[in-house]
Amino acid sequence: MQGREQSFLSHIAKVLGRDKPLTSAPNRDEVGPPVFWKEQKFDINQPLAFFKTNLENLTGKVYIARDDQDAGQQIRVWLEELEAKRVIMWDHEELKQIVHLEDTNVKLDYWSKDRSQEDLIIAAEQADVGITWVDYAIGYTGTLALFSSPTQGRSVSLLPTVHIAVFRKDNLVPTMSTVMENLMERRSTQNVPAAIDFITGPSRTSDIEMDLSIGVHGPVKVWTIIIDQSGNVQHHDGMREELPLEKDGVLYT
Amino acid sequence: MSHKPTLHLRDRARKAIKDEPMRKAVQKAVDRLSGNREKAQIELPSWDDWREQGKRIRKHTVDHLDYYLGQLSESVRNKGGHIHFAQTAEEARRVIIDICKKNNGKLVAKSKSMVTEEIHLNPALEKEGMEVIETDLAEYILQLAGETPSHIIVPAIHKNRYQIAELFSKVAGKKIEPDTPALTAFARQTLRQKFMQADIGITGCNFAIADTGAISLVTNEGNARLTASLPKVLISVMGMERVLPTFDDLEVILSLLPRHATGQKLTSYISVVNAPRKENEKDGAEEFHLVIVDNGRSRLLADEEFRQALHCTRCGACFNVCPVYRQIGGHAYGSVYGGPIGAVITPFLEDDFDFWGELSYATTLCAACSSVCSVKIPLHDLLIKIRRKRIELGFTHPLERVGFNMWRRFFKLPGRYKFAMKMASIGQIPLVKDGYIRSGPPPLSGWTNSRYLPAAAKKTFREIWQEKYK
Amino acid sequence: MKASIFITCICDSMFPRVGEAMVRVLERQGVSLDFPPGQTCCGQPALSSGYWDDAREVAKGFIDSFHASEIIVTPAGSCLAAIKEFYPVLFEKDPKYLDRSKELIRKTHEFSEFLVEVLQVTNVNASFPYKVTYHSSCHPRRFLGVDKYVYALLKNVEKLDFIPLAHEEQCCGFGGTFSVKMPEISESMVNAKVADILATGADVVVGTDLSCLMNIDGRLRKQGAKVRVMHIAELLDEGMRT
Repeated sequence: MQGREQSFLSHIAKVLGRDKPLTSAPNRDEVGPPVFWKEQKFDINQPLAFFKTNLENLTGKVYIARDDQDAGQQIRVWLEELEAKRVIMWDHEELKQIVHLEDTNVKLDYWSKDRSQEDLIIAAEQADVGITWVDYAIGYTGTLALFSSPTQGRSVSLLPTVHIAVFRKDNLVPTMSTVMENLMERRSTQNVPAAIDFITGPSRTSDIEMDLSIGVHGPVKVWTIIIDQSGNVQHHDGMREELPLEKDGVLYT
Repeated sequence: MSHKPTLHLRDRARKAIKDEPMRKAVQKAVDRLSGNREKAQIELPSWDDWREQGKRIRKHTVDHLDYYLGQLSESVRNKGGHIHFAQTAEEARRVIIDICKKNNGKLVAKSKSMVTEEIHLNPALEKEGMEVIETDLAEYILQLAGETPSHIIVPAIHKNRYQIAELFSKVAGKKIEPDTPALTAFARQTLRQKFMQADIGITGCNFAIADTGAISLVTNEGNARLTASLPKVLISVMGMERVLPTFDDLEVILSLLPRHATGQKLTSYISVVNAPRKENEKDGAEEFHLVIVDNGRSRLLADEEFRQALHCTRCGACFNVCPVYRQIGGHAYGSVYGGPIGAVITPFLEDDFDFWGELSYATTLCAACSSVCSVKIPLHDLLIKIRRKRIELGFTHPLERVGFNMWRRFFKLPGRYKFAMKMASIGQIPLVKDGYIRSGPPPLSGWTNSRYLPAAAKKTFREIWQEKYK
Repeated sequence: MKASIFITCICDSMFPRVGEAMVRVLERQGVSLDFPPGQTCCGQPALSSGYWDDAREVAKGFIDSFHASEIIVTPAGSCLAAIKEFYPVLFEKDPKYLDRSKELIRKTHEFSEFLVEVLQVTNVNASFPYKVTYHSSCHPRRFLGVDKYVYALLKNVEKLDFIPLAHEEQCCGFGGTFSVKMPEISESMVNAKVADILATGADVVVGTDLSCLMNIDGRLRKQGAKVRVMHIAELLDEGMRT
């Protein structure tokens, strides 16, 4: 209701000492993190080392795979370990090349465009494991940044008991700054995802007598596979196209 | 619809102090949270630079709130969302009820939101025949117990496992063991079903991003993600100051908030919800409503001295170091927002400096709160200013006024001051024994009930100085 | 070196012995002291309670009484902290007194800060063979940063056995009128402080602020505890005289 908005904003303008609400962007000296944060340089291996340490401290697992095959194999090993019967996975090109469960007893559902919402949600709810790719992995905090899309359902990393995330070393960035920059760029092409989930470890709470409990509403385990080899699949749908620049053993974000 | 306590602050505090189990639980919680914050401080380089940056960003945003809310509104509408502006709690409730009714809402899933507490939303929805379920574990416990939060980060800290087990067992219709895994498993199972059935999801909003129209939710449990992903309709309620200009700024707040609240680098989930869902997506809300609430915040905004209280990130660090909070717990404050920040904002939100202004006496002005605030709000300074405001508005005891009047007359001139000191040292004689006054009439009894008061010295320092050193 | 004494009303009327101890310690370091007789009170009680008009009047007299002093030393950290925090706000609409208060702030030092920063002394040649714990008063800690000075001074006292206090920085519950306005909360807070002190097994608890020390002492005495409560000036003075 325009009328209510106008009077609401006019009231605010008035108490701030203005005749009417400001409509042009006010000047800002600095935006975002302190300068030293954005300009810091990381050694090429630091983001990976940070990521591993951080996620493992939060009870997560990190497996560094030599190549796609090794990654695929590790997933099968984990699924067996978890005694998983049902798995739901993003309908993601690279994942589909890596994850092969045809010769197992595991039922694999894809979060695909052709399936109904009801089917997909039920499949995710009943799945023991949800497998996703990762748009960005953030070293500094051990975080997975997942962007939603028609083939990348939020539910896949949320409803199943275990979340397995797969990505390449190329997807790893040192800090959240890179992700935020990407989101701000996407703004200009109206391409900001409908959901960006920053996931740092499993679901937890200390609400009961400050006693830590892992796995409240979200996944109880977050296991990741990092493939130490560049992929040969073209990214589309506006997902990450540029790789971070490496130069002289230093990673520039 | 004000839920004003019947007892005054002192009586509420007295009651709370007698609750030994509650105090032990609170002290354990705040010591743990504070300790974790201190560890985080060691880990993050240039902690103070981050706080300074956070302060700058919040100040800029609040000082130009008309612009940023206007931009937020446009951003939300441009992507197919709905935005509603509510001046009062009543308006906010009505807007939300209308949305729920229009969508034939039967079951509402809620994730933790202080502002929905503030506007007393749940009872209003229930009155309309809707089932409302709190999904944050602590809020769920409180809902079952019929109680309000006692801390903004760990709301049910005053409840022990046995009390929680009793509540859950009643719901389950069978005994649930009073141990954390069993209690958590029960909550997970029960609430998961509700998530799947809910037709409306209601969340709060940690910070909205003005140039995009997205909201961010900072949680550990996953319930906010579920609330924002599964039900068809999503309503997010936000205090009007909870906005940031751009994603870059969000990174700063995300670097401060979790570390100050619990010592975590990041909470398990930072959900940037840019609802409604995009075409062909199969989860995420299909309809998005952002309800922006004033409810007295513009009174804070209008006062240049107090405007900075709106910078608050709701990290709770001030609660965790407050020496008064650790003795009386959250409920004694009697207000939706307790602790140091609550004592500052409540008189403005409730437009009542008489009753709610009392909260400014629940402090020794030790400034521990100011020293840890994630965005450097000088809370102790604001508390003293509330006392001053109360006096300006005429809300203090006439005897106190007279008292300070006399104090002024006697203390402004050295001659009169010396006279007053002499009178006190003579007047106290009947009460003094072995250099101490052990009991005295009110208000002195406030002291002497628990402490000895040293007697005024026979000779003041200046008298000694005159004799010995002149 | 010459310095003026800002005694504070609480030290003047109730703990003159602390003032005397301070005088002895400073004179031993070669400081020549004077006492501006016009001083009364800095106004903190009225200031904290919100009676700023009353506080302002008393503060003016106070500021003027130190007009001629070049450097000022005080045994009460919280009074100086109040002056530092609030005089500029109290006089923000009065340019004359705003300047004078800034001047006053510039030239006034808390006792332990005076020793360590101004006189550059951390060792006063004291010996104090007791177990000692330290209560860090809120305002001196947060607004004057005195902890480091106290630690530096205690470290050099011979035979002193320092035991850290749990929750050292937690407020003792005095808070001026708070102690009589909210006596139950105040009592609860001082109980917690005293429990921590007794848990250290210390013979002495030392501090920089007399209002805190009076509060803590009052509670200890009522409980019949044996722990001595001393101002840092008293401790150093006693230690120097043995």
